[in-house]
Amino acid sequence: MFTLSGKKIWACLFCLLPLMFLPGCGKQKEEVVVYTSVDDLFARPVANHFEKLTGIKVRLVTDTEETKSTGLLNRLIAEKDRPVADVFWSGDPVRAALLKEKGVSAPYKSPSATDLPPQLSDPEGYWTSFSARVRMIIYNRERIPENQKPLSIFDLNAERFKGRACIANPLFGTTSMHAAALFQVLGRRKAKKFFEDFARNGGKILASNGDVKASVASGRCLLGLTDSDDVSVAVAEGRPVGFIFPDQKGMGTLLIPNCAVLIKGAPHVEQAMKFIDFLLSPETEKMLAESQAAQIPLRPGIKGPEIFPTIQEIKVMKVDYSKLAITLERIMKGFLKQWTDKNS
Amino acid sequence: MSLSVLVLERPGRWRLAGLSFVIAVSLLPTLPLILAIRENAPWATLNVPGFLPLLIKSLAISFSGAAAALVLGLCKGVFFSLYEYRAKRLFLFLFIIPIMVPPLLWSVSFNNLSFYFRLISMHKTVCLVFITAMVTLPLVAASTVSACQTLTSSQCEAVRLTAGETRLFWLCLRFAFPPAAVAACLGAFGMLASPGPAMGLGLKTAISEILVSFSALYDMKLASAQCVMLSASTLALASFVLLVSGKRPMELLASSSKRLQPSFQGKMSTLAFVFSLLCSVLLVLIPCGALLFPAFTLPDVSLLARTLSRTLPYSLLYSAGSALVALFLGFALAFFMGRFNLTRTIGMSAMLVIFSLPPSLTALGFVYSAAQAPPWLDFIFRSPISVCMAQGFRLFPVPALLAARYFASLPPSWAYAAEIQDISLKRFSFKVLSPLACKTLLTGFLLVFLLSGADVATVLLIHPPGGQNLPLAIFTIMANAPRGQVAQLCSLYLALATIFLASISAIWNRGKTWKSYQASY
Repeated sequence: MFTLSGKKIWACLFCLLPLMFLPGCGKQKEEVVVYTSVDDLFARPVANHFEKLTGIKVRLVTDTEETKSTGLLNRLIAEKDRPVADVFWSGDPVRAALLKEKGVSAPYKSPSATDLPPQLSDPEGYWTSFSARVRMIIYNRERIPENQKPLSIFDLNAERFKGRACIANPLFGTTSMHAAALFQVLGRRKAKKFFEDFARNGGKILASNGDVKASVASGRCLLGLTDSDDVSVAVAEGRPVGFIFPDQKGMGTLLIPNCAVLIKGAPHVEQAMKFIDFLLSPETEKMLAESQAAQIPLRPGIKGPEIFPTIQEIKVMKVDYSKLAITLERIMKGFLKQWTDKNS
Repeated sequence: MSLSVLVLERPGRWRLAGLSFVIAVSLLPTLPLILAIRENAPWATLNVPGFLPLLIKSLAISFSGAAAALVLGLCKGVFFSLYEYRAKRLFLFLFIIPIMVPPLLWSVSFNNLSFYFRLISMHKTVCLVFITAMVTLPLVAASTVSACQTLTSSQCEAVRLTAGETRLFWLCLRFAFPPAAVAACLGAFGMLASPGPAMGLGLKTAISEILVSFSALYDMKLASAQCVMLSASTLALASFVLLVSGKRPMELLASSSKRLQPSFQGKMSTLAFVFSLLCSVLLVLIPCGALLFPAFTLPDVSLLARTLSRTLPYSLLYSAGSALVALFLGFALAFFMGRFNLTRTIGMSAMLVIFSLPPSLTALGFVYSAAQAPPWLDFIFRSPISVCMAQGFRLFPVPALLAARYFASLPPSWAYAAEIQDISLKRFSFKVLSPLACKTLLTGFLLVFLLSGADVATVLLIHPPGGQNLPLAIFTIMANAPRGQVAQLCSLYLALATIFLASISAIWNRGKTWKSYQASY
């Protein structure tokens, strides 16, 4: 009868050891290592398409800003002296600007970027923006009548929504970027007042933008601030939610473009440049618009997602993206941290 | 010249040296960050008055969960060891589920509970206590079963005949309490270092504060200083726990007689069944149901297949590799601890502290080391081996705990007898020690195999590009993917883990059937 002796067990265990070396075997000649903070769901099809077109193998490392991992940004900073990554595809310009500040990125002005709006990218070419998400108000269609729909982010603090508005933790992800943008556009005093009024009105701080979406969809909260990709997924799932591009008659809606960043000392520079060229091409903008992320193309003339208007039809918040990282760093260690500590 | 068998039973400075070596190796990855603290002294920015209450709150949550797990796990372990009852193996599997799933997903499950079934909306702190209990329970139960297996049938039969079934149950609980308490502490410290559930629930704890320093403020030094504070409190608590656990039961054992076999005992077997059923429903089935409920939508089969083919080899590789590293370190640590109080106290304190270190800290230490290391070392630092090492270094306290118990259960007289017969250490190890270590090895391997699958933070930070495992794949899509898709991947992961466990169980119990169990009594 088959029995397990000590020798057999040890033999089995040590037979597994060589397996650890297997993935190193048979590496492709041409490859590019891409770190991305964009969700796997949206980044992988783009990488696969690039592989098909060029034959260059894309080794993708994905992350997600919402699940509060320590994140790829920390990994990139830690690997600064001898990087593994060739390209960082950032979901927002703040992280891209931070990499520039930390000396992790290198300048690259892609020929594909000539028809992209230059005001959304780094003037020195350390990061270049393409397809964007938008910060928007999501609301529960069944609970908020048409005539009471919110129009501005300041409506989150309205008496009629007392205790029923929500945002994600402003220390993380795109909510932190939104906070920095408000400090830049409104000024310190008004921005602080917005957050203090939100807390006074019983506004809730949830774990992530995904939670904001879920809370509003379930009716626990009536409205909240989240990203357009969350809204797109909620609509696709058939949830009873509506969305508003806030402050179309005021300061405008915050745009969150994706950014392509070349890593300083990248092991595969040539392939990295090819990948960045591909990311910044109209084709990628089209793919991202058609995906469930419903990203809005920055180029005129490319068909955007069905549910959202084009970039030309949206009044966009005027933000200096290259300075946003500095604003964010300042408020993170000061007001925003204290406010979050006090109210969460 | 061959080593004497008596080396197994003798104290000596070499034990302390060996112990220090194992501990140093496992702490090596965190060294770059700790050195950075020394150089830059971020203590001024640590804000101790702000961090301390969070630390106390986190400890309170973790230990409440661990206390609940200790009570339930002890009972579960003793029921499992003493009695046969219906669906015993099914319940055993159900109890293992919570450690197979990344803890973050349990917070998703609780969020789903309040999303889909609005009636159930628990307080966040209660949810976190619940999750801690769920994740700690398998460790406590495994430790209890392991301890009870060192009892002999004759010991139990003697108590059964003289004092009755209830008394036997009570004595077994007391017997298994110290190792179970240490396992509960391991679980508590493990959860103390796991930011996922607290962040997922939107609850502020010490580890979530550390995470804010890491990933929001990008202040690695502050985060490292906070980690040191967390570990210092762990060390203090660990010392206290070891002080109160007193004499360890492993030293009281006689091992040369027939091992304890579970048996059918009328009312107690029924009670064991009812208890297991209730625990399974409350601690496993409801949270699992909430996690997997959205899976009942039309699955995208091609997407599932693609994800599986991409991630399965790495999932197996990381888990098996981590388990091997952890087994090696765990057994080495247990060997050096021996039966001696000083080495045991040092070893166990170190184990608890290592388990309480946030995985991201170790992982980032690894990344720093890799960036500083010469390129020819990339085959270690920038390959799947690095993931296996980082996870193994963190999880080795689990097999170490089991191995310590195994070494303690070996009667010292065997070594003396072998010495008299002039048997070499090599021969003694192969003929006597290894066969007896099989169960401990396999249990340790399985536990680390499963626990490593749940440690997403380490894999995320160290995995070689393109080398995603399945839990990480779930983790990176869960924010924006439809709930149904996330749930389908979770179901797939659980199904695979089930198949894996069932296969191991089938190999282990080959030839043993339910009827053969009944017939043997």
